[in-house]
Amino acid sequence: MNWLIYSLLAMIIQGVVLFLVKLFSFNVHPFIILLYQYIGSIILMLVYLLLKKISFRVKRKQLFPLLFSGFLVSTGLAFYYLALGLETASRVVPLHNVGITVLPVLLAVLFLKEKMDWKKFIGIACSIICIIFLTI
Amino acid sequence: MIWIIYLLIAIVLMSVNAYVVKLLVKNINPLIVLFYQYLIAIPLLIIYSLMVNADLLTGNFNIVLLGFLYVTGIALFYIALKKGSLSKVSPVFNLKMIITAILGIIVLSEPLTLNKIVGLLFGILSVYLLSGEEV
Repeated sequence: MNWLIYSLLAMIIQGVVLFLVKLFSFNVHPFIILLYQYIGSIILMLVYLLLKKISFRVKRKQLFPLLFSGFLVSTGLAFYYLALGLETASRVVPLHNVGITVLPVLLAVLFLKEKMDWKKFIGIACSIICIIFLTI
Repeated sequence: MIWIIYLLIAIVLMSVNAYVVKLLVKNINPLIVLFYQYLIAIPLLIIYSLMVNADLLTGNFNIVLLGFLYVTGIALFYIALKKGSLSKVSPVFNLKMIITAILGIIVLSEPLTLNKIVGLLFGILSVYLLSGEEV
């Protein structure tokens, strides 16, 4: 399978998760939802990795970026929920989604030297327009 | 206006994370990347929860079950990052609100407004344009 199939499946599953969180409105602090989701996640990960006998071993030099990545994702989400607690979702959600769409593209072009053509540029612009229209 | 600072920090951290993951999955199994992320993310979230006085015991098993679905989505995103370019995978993945909007219309009978129709059309167009071969 190519990257698009995986991306679309990931997009669909995450969309369903967002919907279920909204549907059940668990009435608990967002940090707690995230924490319990991560606990569920690590349980499933452990079971899968052990069943598939995938080694947990990583090189020592890989350990810092791996743990740093964990810091980035958890702290990033924590700040996102803090912003949501202070301002209306109709302002925070679109800005956040546009930001996390545009900035990784800039990082990819600047540091990974990924190429940008007009088709890709218009595609990214369309995704930003989509996010704005779905959230206003 | 403190919210905008929090939001900018969130955007920068999460975008840098996508970039770091793109580098990591070149040499490490994406599932192992996820495992190590959660190894540090869980204790950090406990600390953050305590800092905002959130009650750690208010969670429930349903949210843990939701975590199973959540991690499946993230794992597929990381596998996509291994196979494709960050500048294509990230915009497609962030269109997840299309699914939330469609489910809202179908399951919750939310109104299908002109904004939503335009948004969905642009989302489909975006996936079509980004789905081409690498340049």
